[in-house]
Amino acid sequence: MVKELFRPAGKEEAVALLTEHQGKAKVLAGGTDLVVLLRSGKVTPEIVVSLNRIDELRSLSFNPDDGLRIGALVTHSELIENDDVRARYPVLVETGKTIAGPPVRNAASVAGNLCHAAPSADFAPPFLALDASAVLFGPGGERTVPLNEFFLGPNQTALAGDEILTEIRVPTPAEGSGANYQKLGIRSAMEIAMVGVAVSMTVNNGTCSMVRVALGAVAPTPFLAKSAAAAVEGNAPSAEVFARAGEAAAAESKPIDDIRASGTYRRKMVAVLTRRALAQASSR
Amino acid sequence: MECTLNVNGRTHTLLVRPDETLLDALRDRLHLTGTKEGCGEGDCGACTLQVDGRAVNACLLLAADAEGRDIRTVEGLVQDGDLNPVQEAFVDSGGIQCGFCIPGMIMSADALLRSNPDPSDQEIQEALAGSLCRCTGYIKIFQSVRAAAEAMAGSK
Repeated sequence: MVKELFRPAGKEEAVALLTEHQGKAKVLAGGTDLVVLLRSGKVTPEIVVSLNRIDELRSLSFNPDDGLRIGALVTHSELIENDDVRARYPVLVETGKTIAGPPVRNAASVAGNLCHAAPSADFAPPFLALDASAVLFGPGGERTVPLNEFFLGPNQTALAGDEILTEIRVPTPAEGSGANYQKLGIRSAMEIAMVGVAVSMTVNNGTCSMVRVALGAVAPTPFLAKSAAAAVEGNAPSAEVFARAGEAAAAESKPIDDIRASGTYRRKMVAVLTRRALAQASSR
Repeated sequence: MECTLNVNGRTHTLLVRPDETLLDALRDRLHLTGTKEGCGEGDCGACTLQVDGRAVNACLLLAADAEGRDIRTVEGLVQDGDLNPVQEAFVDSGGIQCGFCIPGMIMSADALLRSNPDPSDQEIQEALAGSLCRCTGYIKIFQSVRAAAEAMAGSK
């Protein structure tokens, strides 16, 4: 049972509380994952540290030098309604709109989607494809972790028990680049991905470069499918090249059987969705 | 723990458990039972209310963490005893069957129409996507929101 809820006004105070109660504390932002876990008894922290009074974590900004900086409390809705995000990172808008429904998106933080670290977290593949990183703040100060080193297992991340994620950073997309997210689900709302594939690439003078392919819901963590990207890198965009990359992505995936889909089906769909995502991203 | 909540324009100071949801505090302590509990996991939308003007699930918020926010429940839409135009439209259009999902539907629709008075059909559908109607009365619910938008446009 939770003995106490703390609402610190600064990130230093939040980290001090986590340090003092290490192993017995949970961090709360939007609450859309944590509150469900608390009520079901699946997590049983003694204290909960809410970040919701730490105003600096609400910032959302873009400039060409720093790229996009998403504070820990920025909600799904705030991200997908932001003009800079709509203009420069449309893949994040498309992805965000596939997540849950408006009441959840109005509360859920983007950072929380990553920190909860569900293998199927929808925002993970596009952020991986866009080469994002996470800024973590702890007693020793700040460190920046590339997102492809952030996910360690189902619901496990590189965050130490006394650290909070303060910001997601996304580089400015290169000139001529395109990105796309393909999600496999039965419904268009309130759906968890059976497979998620995000692609980012640049096409210049008929050649694909800076190709990144990220897969979700088909391994213990979302991850970059390097052989799939290599199958496209340096080639002209074509259906054959994208089909080959799709097969490579499927071979890299390690999906499990569960109530939503069999592993065999998921693996076949990785090939299909990767092909589609590459075709979409290359035509932008 | 003690917390102060601003609900429907009134300030309430109450004692809550640290992990008590806003939904439980509203229903059990303030006796505002218009906000319903369905799934308790953010999937059904029966507990949808407005926080700072946006539709959110009351079952996913901790009461003590909602301090300082502007909370509006379906009871708070009534002005001087009169239903607001969205509530009125649901009654007039027959949008209500068993009624259990309706407070959530109305809070989502009201939030939509405040920010977007002339929504497209798709925008209405997307705004209601977080609410389930187990009577499956979606068509009349949809028509009620459309009627509310038209009534509000006509009264201006």
